[in-house]
Amino acid sequence: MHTNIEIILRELYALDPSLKEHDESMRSFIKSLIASRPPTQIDAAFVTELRARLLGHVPEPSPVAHHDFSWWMVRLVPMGALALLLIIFAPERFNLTPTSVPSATSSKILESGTSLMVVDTATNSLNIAMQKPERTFLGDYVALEMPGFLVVHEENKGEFGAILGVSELLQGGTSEKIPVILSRDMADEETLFASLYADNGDGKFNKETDTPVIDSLSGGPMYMVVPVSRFASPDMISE
Amino acid sequence: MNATDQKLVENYLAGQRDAFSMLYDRYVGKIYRFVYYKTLHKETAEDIVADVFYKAISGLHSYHVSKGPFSAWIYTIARNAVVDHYRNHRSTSNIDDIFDIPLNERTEERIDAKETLSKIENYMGTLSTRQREIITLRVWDDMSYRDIADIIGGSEESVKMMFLRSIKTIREKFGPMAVVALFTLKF
Repeated sequence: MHTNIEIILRELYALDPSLKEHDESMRSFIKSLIASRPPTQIDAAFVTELRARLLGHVPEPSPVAHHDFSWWMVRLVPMGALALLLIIFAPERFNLTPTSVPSATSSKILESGTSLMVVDTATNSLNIAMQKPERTFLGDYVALEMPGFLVVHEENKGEFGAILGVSELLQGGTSEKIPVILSRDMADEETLFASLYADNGDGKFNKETDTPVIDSLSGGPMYMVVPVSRFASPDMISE
Repeated sequence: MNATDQKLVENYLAGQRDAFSMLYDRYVGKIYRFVYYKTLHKETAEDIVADVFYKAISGLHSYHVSKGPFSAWIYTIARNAVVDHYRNHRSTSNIDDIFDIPLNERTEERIDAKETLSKIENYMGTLSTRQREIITLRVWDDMSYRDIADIIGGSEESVKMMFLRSIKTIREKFGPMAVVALFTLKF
């Protein structure tokens, strides 16, 4: 501590030599500042437990490519049928890239151009692979900053159409293999949208009162374009 | 040789989970102290620190050295987490830490060592959030100006000048011996 006082004083005097005239009071002053430091002994058990929780519950890191869901991408969705044909004749594993929001910003409320109130939360992502034309939609992986829902929409001329199904309330954190029972069977070669909504606290989904989770990178709602194909196989569906 | 923060991030993203454990060990104490100095409550600080590291491990794939040092990134997460904590628990905004909360609104049971707070709040309350961070990081954590500059932004010289102004502000407001008396009086 004594060495620290000398170093701090030397630094201060280098910046303002006039302070040297008050060396005795400056020493006492800096000494008191140091002495006022609150005791901050971190709990060793807390450190150990938190490490175990962090490394035990987070998925293995994998390369993430950010997919820019720009206005043009949305307009090109009807061409998804052609893309599906290519996929059929290219039997490599098909894995949709997740949209993630690794933002370190705080939560905030924004008003979009459609007057929607949206919630920007710090850590959200979703990963959904191609679906088989069945009644149950399966989300592979969802991470939510706050409790919320995985919502499946029809595609309507490149935009979000009617909601076909909503997941059970997902707690904040990560969820895997999330089933969403739809109001109808998915159709072969159809394209759907999967989006995330933050719950308003009542535990029930309501499109009017729950808020879309936004992608802070794009500024728009976080969603994925999900193709449906009868050729979707377990190999194509993410583990 | 100790791996740099950036190297550990790269190793973790390449699949080495132990690399994050090393980053965690490197920063958990620092982040805890940083948060504790802003909240002065052990359980609150632990909750916030856990939140910080969950966000860090979830968002590591978005971090790149081009955005600045890893330390700046994780301290920013911590700073925002503290702000979010107070926003979520209070209706008033513009609260960056415990020193921004008016005296008559503080919940005594949520503050450790109330005596400690009463000692330091007089001068901490006169400083801006940025000045408080510089004081705590330099005086209480013995961090270099360069490292502080990485964390709070700005140049090393600007941090030094702000530190100097903060010291002068306290001395001018309370007098050079008043602060000494403040910390040596027995309650």
